[in-house]
Amino acid sequence: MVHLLSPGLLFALAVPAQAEELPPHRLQAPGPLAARAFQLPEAHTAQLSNGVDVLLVENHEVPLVYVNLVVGSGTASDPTDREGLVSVTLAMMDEGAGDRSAEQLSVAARKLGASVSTFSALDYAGTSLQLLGRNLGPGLDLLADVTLHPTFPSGDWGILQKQRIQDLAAAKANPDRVAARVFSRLMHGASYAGRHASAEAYEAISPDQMAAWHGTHFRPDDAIILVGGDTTLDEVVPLLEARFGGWSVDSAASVASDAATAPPTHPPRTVYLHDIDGAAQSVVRMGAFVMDRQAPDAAALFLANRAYGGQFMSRVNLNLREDKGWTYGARSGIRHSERPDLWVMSTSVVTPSTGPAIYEAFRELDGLLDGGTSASGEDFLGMDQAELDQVRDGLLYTWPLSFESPSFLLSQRLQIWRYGLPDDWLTAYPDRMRGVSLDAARAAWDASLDVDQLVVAVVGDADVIRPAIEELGLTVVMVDADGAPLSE
Amino acid sequence: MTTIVTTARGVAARLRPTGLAALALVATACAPKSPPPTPEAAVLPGPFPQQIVRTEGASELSIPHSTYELDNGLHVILSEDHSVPFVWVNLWYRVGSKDETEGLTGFAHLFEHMMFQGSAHADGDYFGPLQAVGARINGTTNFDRTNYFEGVPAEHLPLALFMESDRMGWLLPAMTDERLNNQQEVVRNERRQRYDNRPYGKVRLWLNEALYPEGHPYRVPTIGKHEDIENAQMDDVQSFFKKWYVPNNASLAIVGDFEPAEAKALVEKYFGHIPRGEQPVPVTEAPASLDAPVTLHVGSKVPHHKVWLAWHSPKLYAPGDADLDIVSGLLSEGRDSLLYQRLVKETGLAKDVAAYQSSSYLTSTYVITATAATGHTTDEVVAEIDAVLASFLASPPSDEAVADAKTNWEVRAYGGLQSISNKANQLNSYHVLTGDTDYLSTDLGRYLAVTPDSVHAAGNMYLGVPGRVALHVHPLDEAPEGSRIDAPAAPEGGE
Repeated sequence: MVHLLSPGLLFALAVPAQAEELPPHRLQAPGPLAARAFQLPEAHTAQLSNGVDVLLVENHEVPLVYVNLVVGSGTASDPTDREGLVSVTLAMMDEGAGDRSAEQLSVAARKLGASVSTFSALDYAGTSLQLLGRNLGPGLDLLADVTLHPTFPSGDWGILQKQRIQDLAAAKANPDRVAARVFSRLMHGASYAGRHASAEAYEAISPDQMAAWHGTHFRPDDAIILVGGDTTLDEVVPLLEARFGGWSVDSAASVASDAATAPPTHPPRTVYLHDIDGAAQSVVRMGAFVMDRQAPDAAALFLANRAYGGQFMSRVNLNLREDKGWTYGARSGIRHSERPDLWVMSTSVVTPSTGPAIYEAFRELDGLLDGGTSASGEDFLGMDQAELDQVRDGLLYTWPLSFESPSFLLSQRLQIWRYGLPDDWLTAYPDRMRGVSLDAARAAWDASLDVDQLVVAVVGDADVIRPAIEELGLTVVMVDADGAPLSE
Repeated sequence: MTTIVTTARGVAARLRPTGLAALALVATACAPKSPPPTPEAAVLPGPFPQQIVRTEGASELSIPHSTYELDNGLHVILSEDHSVPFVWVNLWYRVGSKDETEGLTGFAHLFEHMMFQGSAHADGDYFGPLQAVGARINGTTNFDRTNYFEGVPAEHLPLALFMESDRMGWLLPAMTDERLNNQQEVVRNERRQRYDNRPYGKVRLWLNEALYPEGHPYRVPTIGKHEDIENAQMDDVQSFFKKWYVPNNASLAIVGDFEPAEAKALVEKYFGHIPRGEQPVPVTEAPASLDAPVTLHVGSKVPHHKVWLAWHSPKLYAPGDADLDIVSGLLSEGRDSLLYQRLVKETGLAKDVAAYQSSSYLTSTYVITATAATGHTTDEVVAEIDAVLASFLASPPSDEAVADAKTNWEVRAYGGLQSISNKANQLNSYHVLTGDTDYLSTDLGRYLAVTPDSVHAAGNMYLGVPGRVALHVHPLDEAPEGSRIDAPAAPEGGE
């Protein structure tokens, strides 16, 4: 056994000769080679005769083409008591379209080396095609049918309806999914993002309602077509024009913008706890609404967050994972897809360490500004210029890799289109990051995140974890799997 | 479909969907299957780089590259791709969880975590210096091999090579009991997060216990048993490193924006003085079979009654492997597929059904899984699956159905070439598992050569046999009498 010796010492004793023979370049990390130029790829633009914008990012490495048609309405437009309508409407659009059944769509797509699918997010929804570029025309025929002429067959809806209702039970049995439900309900209350589908809502939804939603929201004056891969404007625009150029607004109804409701307020220092008896870990979410990404100090907040929890070497991950070993990982980020923008910290920690982990996550929030003393008695410092430079440089170094495939550039253009961001949103990114001073980063963090006001959701074994959470001076409110308080 | 256990939290770059499909939240990225090792295979010199990957006709698909070997036995693969000023360094070691010793399940993966804990001349978290220059970093372990990779801005290729070579040559001086204890806890939390605290998370553990006999290298999934992870000692770290982490047991792929002459010089500079080690002997043969059906019922904290049927199937790249992948397409891909039609649409017995093969180096498994629809039992579901299978195996599928399924594999092959990181991993995979870095066209060719008769033959040979596992998983309070009960253990760990 070697445990009496430190491994380092043991190594030195065992192979003394080798250390002397090491070349000098082994002893110290090398500096960089000459930097290489990076050319931001271009998004080519065109417009169909009915005004639909087309964006293309070419990439000819492999003979595949991707086409997404996106409209600016999403699940936020679910009617009250019909939660899930938008999601199932999109899910049903490829279950029958034009004169093809779901089965015929599957067969037709497979013959073309294509897949046709649909998607829905909070503020947008759409249809996608991925295929062998040599079959672009026939593939777009399928995409056009699914996008413009879905038939919502009632038999297939019956299947999906049963699946969705059965899935509700699955969502409530999975700790990660319960945490997501509870957390979104706590943050958003009954407003669009906090609503959950229910069996009653699914039972109340009919194919007619899907057709009506589709008719109102799939409209050329609120649509954009994003194309990536092995094609050119010269090739793809005429193909798109032939299939989508005659698409017109067939409904006078305008798209109502969802009314912004004020998010719920919570008493300070409260932890909402959903009990899962015997859970091996506790799933933890902490959240706070923060400034919009277009606010002057949003970049400052973004960089401060990166130091807190936005990368592997962040303070909260190094603390909870690499120092304590309580978790496989801890991270934080800012979700722009929710309104207002939402800061979220998330982790799953071993059950007995749940209270201490919440304490450490809190402590790191303040520690980013003021430093402090760690649980093991070591002093640590607040964020300084070197740390800010490190997180910023890391981001700027990584940036070119985002453009390896067309998807990042196109997704950014989708954000610009949907959320009305300035045209130079993407190209100005490096300058926005470079413009952040240490004072601004610290001030943005200080102004945005207050430990006392964080909303904390925990899904875990209440018997074990509740006492330690209360010892931190926090009030525990027990909630059900939808985030509604239970009477005790 | 190989089981992969990763080091960093979150999705590895390897799994990042590329293309616009990612934007649509559609998971379509699926390269030709990640394969296993043939260590004794000859190292063949590759062709010199061509300008582009794309050729007319998929059967001539290639990733242009060159290969050579250092004096210490390190295999090197270079492939230029100047699309962005980034370069990926991807390093495979021919050791996986199949090579673990008794009582040390999970160790290959735990060791992979230790490789991120610092080395003699970079004695801190491996992510530190690399993340500062924007690197994307991760490592993964499966049954058959362990890989490490980082994408760095092109100018930081020297740093990436310095870091990888330092832990290949000088890991042990930086190892401490404290670091080991810490990563033991991290890995146990990885297991809790991904297996223990998730409905159906332990299915693969139960399936493998039924499929493989005691002592078989695949019996315990890569993540390992808690007690074994906990029992690992510093001695084990040292002996595992000395045995497996030698340059002559590794393959280094550099793919991206670099100058070949410069990269070669850097590889020699940083890896050339690492001494060759004794050649380790990995497990290369471990067939498995089942003579009779095995039926298991487990009661667990799950929402629905679900069933998994599992058969032994040919090892990766062996005859029948590609045919069974085509079978999966016919059985469960798309609304017209046989299982969806009968189980979900016509009878309504199942909420969902899927068929897939998990191919690995020593042997593979073929799996059909379904969730019973509310009000139905897994026994009803199994009876219907058996009826569909029997009719499917009775005669060859149509030419048209097979041709269409093959087109799908052509698309998958292209999909795997879209990211630089994937290309690097695939080149290493082909080298380590087949000895042929040019295997891409052969790999796709296996699928293009499939015929209705070969599908029929392979289907009958592997799925038309009595030996298979039927694992029924039930909610705790609805489990039939005699079920094995998977009740939560008493809380453990932490402080």
